[in-house]
Amino acid sequence: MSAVCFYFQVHQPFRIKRFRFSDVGKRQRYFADDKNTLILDKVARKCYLKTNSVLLELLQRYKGKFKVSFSISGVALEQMRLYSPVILTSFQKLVDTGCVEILSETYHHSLAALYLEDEFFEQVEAHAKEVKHYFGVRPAVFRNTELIYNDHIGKLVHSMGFKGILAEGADDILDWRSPNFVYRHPEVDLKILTKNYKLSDDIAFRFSNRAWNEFPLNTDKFARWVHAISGNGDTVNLFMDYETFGEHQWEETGIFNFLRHLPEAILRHPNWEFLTPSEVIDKFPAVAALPYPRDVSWADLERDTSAWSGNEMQRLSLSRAYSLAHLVRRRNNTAVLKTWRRLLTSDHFYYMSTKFFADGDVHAYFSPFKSPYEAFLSYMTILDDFELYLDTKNTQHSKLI
Amino acid sequence: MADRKLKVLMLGWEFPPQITGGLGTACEGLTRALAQHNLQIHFFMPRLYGNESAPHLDLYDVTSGITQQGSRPGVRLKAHWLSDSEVTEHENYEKMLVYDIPSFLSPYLRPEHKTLSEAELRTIRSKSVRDFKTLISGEEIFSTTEEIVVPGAPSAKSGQHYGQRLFEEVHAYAIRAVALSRGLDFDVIHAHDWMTYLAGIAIGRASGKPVILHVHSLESDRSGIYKNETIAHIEESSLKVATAVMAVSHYTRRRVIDDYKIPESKVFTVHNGLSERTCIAPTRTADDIFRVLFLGRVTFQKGPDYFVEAALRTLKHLPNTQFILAGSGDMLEQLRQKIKKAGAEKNFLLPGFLRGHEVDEIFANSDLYVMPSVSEPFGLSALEALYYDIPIIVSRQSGVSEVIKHALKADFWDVEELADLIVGALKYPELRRDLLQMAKQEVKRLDWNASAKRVMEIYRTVT
Repeated sequence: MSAVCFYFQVHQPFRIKRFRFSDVGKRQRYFADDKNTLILDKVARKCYLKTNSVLLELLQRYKGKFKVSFSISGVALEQMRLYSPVILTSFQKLVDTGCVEILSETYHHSLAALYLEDEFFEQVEAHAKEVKHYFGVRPAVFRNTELIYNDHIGKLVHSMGFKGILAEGADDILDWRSPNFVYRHPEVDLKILTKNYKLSDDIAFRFSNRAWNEFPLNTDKFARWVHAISGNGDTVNLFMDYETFGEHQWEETGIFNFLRHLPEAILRHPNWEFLTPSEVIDKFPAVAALPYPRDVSWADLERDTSAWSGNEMQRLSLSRAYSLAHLVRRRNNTAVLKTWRRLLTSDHFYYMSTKFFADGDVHAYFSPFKSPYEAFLSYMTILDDFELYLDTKNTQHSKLI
Repeated sequence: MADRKLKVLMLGWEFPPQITGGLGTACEGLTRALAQHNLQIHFFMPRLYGNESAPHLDLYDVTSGITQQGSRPGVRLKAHWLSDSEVTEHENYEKMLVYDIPSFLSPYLRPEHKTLSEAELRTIRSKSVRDFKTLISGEEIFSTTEEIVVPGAPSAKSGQHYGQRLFEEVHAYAIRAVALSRGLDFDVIHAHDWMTYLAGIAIGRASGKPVILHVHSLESDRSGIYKNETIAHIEESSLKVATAVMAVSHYTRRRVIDDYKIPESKVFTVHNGLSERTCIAPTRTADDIFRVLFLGRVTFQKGPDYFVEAALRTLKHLPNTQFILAGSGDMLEQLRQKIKKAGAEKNFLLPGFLRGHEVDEIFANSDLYVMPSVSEPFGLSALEALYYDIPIIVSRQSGVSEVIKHALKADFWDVEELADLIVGALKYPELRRDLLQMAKQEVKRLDWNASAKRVMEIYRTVT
């Protein structure tokens, strides 16, 4: 039997405000609470609540034969709790079916694995605690921010006791190999699930693209592609942003109907089943070691980290933010630590990406700022202000968040 | 049709090197790119100076009737509305046109320097009036001009920067252009900015050929609230009867449609390109003084007051910054006072109107270019700044903002934002380098060939 393994990413950053030099030292708030509430509400309405109800219906109908997995960032969980607890409840209902696995990630959806290891460990632990609190489970499989992965990160993740990790099935990494098998880290006992980016992106990106020669995509066609792998692969890993459903692909495109009828189409073939990442790892042996000598992510065509650190502004702000670590820790204050960590969320750096800005593509679409330059200036100015509070023995910092 | 050589009668007002603004530069860039296509351009000018370098054009001096075809200068053409005897003497010809035509168009005019005899007047009037009445019949374009052109009378604020004789020249140009056009074969008329619109419309009526009016700027861009109603009227009535209209930006296109109620379907955006130019080597020194440049007319529409406001705010954060306000205009004195009052004279440089190499030098010396225009149809100088490796801050109300995404942008009235962007850009060389690297890629894509291709499409639509 071969498996289809669904994984959905749920994340919302605490977006920062347009912060000006004249705001420095005036105890202005850093985070755009109004905007964040509004966006969460909108995404909940278009995606989270709607897709959750479709999934709940499917999970109940198929009684153990349909399964999915999620990772929900800590900052997303926090915002749901703060602004819209009903979203949290609807995710809990899914997990209660016993057919949904929750994966581990950093609480702050950060790039700490690349920049500050002890901080990385702490954020993963903080997230595990949160998952335990809300869902009553301890994650066994890890996925890093934006599927960012390399051999070294594999070792870090293994050292924390995880049995597997999700990664992008990038062409240069897989070379002649198929993404549809389980692989292992070349040195440590860690299994790697590689994303089948072709089939994943058929749903996530191309579903409603009229210029695509396979348009329109229906469940029969998609199931046919999956079934064609029979005997030639153990698992088809479909990893995507949860916002694919209803937000990136609008309801009008028929994406919900597609989702509703997909299990039926996949299960029509007797050799196919749905499994969660943990089940895939437990069931299938690793066919080979798979080295990741470079930083790989699931972003853009490059499948690298240039969306977060590709230009000078990004590199400057990243190094400055992480260099504050010792000052922050020295203050030994929960509010200061929390503020700093929210500022480490990868999205802030993504908004500064200049590489596709002029083409008005996804980078621009997701940004709360009018340009990468405003994103950079706001971020740096917030750090100016934040450092002020770190320097002085000011005790008013709790007002910042 | 596609194979036949298209003949274009183009009406311009200036041509490099004799230019006062961006119009001549734009005409040169566009016609050079158009020359790559299968077409011939007759380019009319009020007068030629002989040093125009335009081998791709047939240039016509409508005042003297001199034509410069390709690289062959100095062929004199006859204007067809005057009899041979009237044009034999070049001197006479010029006199008649320069002095007499306006007086018939504007009966209230009394040029002090020349009085014509009754007989002379009668001859000219009968001919030109007959010509014009038939050309413009049914159209009101000219009627109002009679009331407003009063040479010597101080005109409040309106049209201060237009020469007293500008309207006379505009009318004279139209009449001469109609006359010159009689002897030419052409398929379409293409007129650049309001000074040539009357000529364009008139030739259109005389020839029955389609008329395209090219809007490089509108009167409201040039004069803001002090706009000259006559010019606005010329623009409005000409644009209304034109076959098609080209605008240099979406911003300008929208203004044409909204302000003058021109049907959207006949107004097309043709973004300007940027001609190759050689830059002198930047002389920016390694000192820690940053130089922020404003370059343009010091008038309301260019937003120099917002520049000064933002500058004064910037100084609170970066007191060593030098601000260069280059240009002249009716707001200069008032801004000088403001700077003085703020005690910031040492941070400002007001070199006045710059030309030629002075412009190059000021660019080469600056670190940041700021264009806070209230209204800016395009804003070619911002692109020139990019040529000098200077990152730019432009107002969202500018045409250039449509084609350069990698610029810092603010609403012109938001001086807080403007100041913040200036401080940010000066503070972080990383931002300046990213900005410039990306903007230069955009500039590369902005060439006149793309504009010419678009113009050719529009020609084909109307012919």
